[in-house]
Amino acid sequence: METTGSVEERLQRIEDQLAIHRLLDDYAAFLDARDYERYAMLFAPNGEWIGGVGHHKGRAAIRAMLVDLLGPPGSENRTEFHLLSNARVDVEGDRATATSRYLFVRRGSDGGPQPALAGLYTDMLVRADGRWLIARRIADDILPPPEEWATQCTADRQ
Amino acid sequence: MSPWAGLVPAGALLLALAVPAAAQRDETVDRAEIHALLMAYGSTLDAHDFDGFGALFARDGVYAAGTGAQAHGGAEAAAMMRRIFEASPLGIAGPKYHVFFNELVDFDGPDRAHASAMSFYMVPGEDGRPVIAMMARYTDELVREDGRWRFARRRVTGLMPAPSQSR
Repeated sequence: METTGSVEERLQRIEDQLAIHRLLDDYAAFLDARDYERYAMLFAPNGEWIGGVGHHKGRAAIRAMLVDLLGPPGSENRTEFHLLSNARVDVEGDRATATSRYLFVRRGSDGGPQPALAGLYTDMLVRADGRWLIARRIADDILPPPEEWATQCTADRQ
Repeated sequence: MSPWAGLVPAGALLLALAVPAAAQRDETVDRAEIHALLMAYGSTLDAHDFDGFGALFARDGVYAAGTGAQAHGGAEAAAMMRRIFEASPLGIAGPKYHVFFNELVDFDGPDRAHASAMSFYMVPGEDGRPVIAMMARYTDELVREDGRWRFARRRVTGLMPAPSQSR
């Protein structure tokens, strides 16, 4: 961790780290709460989401992706959640990069929580009007691999 | 009116803005202390340190457990968890432990905050490997009391299994 600079500069670095960690956690919270408006607002106006369900650019397209995947906004969700961990953030002025791990947990057949999918988020972030936003998020499904996960999702929908 | 009168508020404002970062309320320290409080909830329970668990609550603190039971004050919360752990409702031998994640903390004033977080309760499976027995959400009201952050209210909501399915 860099410890040089004035107290104000060091405080700014800490606040940037806190704000970006909060952004990463808000992403999971808004997604699991089916709060698509606030989720989409975490992205820059021309922000991108890239992952197993395609490449979506812009807040409207990202919001539409959620409607498509998860149904109408605001619906109650007590069956699947995202655990966010291992966040690593590097800030360079008004730009930053981050990686974090996600564990998608679903209600299993016995009603208990079952890990369903583990993956890696790789983010480019930008500060706009004093607020950190996602310029690009890549979601890499790792365990199970993407093809296997897609097969499982298709089977679940049938 | 004194020609200096109008300058006093402006001077006070300038002084306030000139307070160096080191002298301002250090929110990062408060965040670190609140994080430690949220972690201590798990570490005291995992160690069966029920007195330590009770000390995490404010004098009028409320603990609303996932079962629907409520305890008022740390001593009552400690006694309730001692009873629950001695009864071992999951019927599983140790070691058992909490994993916390998705922690969100917001300040409502210099001495008040609210937070939410989630957890897995890990237990040994039949082959000894770790199994997630329960997933829960915590909704907290926090207060600084006698210089230390404490739970003014902690509500536990069981997510999986649903409370009626909990063993």
